[in-house]
Amino acid sequence: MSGQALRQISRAAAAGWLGVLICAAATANAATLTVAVTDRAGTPVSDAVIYAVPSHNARNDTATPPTAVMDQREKAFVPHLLVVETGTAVEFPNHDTVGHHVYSFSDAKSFELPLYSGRAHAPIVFDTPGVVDIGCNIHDHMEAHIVIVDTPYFGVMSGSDTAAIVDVPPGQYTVHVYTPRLPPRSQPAPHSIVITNSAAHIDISIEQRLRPPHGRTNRSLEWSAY
Amino acid sequence: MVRLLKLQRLAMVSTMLLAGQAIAQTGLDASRHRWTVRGSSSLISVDSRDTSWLDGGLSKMRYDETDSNTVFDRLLIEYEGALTPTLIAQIDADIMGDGDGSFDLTEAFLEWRPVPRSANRHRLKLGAFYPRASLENVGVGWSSPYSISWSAINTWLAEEIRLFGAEWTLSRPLGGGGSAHRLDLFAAAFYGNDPSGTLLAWKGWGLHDRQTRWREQLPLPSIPVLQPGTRMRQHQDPHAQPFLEIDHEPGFHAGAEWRYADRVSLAASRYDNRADPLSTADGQYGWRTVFDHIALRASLPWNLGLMAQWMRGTTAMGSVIGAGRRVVDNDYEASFVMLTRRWDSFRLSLRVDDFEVYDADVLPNDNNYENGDAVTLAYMRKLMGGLTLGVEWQRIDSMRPAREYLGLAPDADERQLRVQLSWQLSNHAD
Ligand SMILES: [Cu+2]
Repeated sequence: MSGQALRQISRAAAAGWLGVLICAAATANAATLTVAVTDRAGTPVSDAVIYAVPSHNARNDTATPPTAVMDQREKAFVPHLLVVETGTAVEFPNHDTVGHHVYSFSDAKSFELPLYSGRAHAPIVFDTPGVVDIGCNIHDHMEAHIVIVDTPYFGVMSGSDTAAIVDVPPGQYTVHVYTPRLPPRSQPAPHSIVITNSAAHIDISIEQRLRPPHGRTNRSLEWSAY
Repeated sequence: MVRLLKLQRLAMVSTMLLAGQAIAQTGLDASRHRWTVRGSSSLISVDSRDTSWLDGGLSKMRYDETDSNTVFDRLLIEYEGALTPTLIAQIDADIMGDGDGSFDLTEAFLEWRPVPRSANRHRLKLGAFYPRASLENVGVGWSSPYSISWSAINTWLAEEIRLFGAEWTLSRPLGGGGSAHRLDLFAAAFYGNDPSGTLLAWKGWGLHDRQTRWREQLPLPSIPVLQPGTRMRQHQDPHAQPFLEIDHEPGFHAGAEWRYADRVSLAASRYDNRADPLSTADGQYGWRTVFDHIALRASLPWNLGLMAQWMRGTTAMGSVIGAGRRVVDNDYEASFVMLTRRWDSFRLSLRVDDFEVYDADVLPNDNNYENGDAVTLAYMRKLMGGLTLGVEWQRIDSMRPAREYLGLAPDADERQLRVQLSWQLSNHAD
């Protein structure tokens, strides 16, 4: 059954602002959770992070999460939205010829990587859960968001119709959505789900009016500074 | 205006290009020190009875029928460098075929960009720079990616306006973190720019791509009040030097811009050079020049971009001689609307300009009234190897009674077809 069909069934079934559909199919003893986040027109929301927090402390491995990368290419952060587990080190390699000066004044992590190219700076460890908005002090239009979560079960809707979280052990979870296209305090309400040994799917429809997506939708105007 | 000999010009350009190439290939860290060399030449076909304003005429265009069909427009060298991670220097110097042959500055400033500690972003510019106004001139060396010739408003800024001082900008999102609404407040205090208005009054508006450099002297038209022996000539040279400081009083330019993502922006500002209209120095008068300016930008459907600017102001010099107006006292207004669309390798832009000068003084034999409009259609294409091709058709209709002083009809219908080839060389990829 395709994600699209599922969403359609879900939309037909759900009258409230949060539509939920759990679909069962046989798998091994860890499941894949797919989540589709759509706006009120039914269009997939490209900039959204999904993470599932186990209700009971289900984590048994305490290994350090692998290093993540926030790249800089053609005067843009890649990806625009990054989700990592608490304690993750993030590298900020600059692949442009022009120098970038990465900074954040967010509560979850305030830092600065003074003007550099290549890999001049050591990775930054994000040790507090929350959202870190990052910018470049040279290029005011450059921006990205790092979402730090207390769970290894997360995914991003990045240009696809759904976000997939693989290898989720059975148990009860609270599924959260975070999108920078809504103010921090107006994020969609979390949803509880019980994961069994089968694939699960959730449709989340955001009824609030979203901010415009990041990036240029119209290339005809140069918006650079004066 | 002294024109360079062809051979002299060719030698100079070759030297500059070679120097530029040498600079571009030095081992300077391109992430911190960025050099750009840009040369442009045009093929022109002008249909106008007017003489170029650079030769004492009243044409709205840069080139006239007496110019050769191939002209050397400009050779620019721009340096942009991070002196420290938060202190950026920018210097733009150029040489032009219709200049005095010297190499001179158009802009030179330092920008302090402290790393934000909150949603408030502060920027401080120090040096010689354009006021924050033009939507068109966002390219290297204040060039425009949209067309070859600029709107009447921005051409005037290029001719007569440059701030020598400091500009502070505060930028912050409106309505909480991550909001797509942003508000910029900016305020500049400056010296210099006291004679600005001289050209707008006596020559009128223009639509071209020529920027006045730091120490440049620009010819004024041969109108009666500027003839040798007149009272005006006691303190006024037959040329203008718009950037001089005459009365040692600072001027200001301040305003605000609201922006919603990359969809729409609206800016409004006021400029006042606060010049003493009775002061004179170095063959120039102080012209009290004040204007209000509004700029609107919007992304439209079908990938179209819209730009519009509007300006209204006054410029005056001398004592009050009648009806509360000064010896030379002019009100002016100009606006344009541009539609532009970019495809992968080329861009098409259509701009309609409207401009007017209203002569409010009673000085005889000095009618500075002007009323005109213009249509500019431009095709800009990126070619390989740093080359850009521009093809532009322009029609400027204007009525200026002062043309009669030069033995011409007040009405002029000027047309121009211009094909420009620009070659850019730099030590950085973007
Ligand atoms: Cu940058």
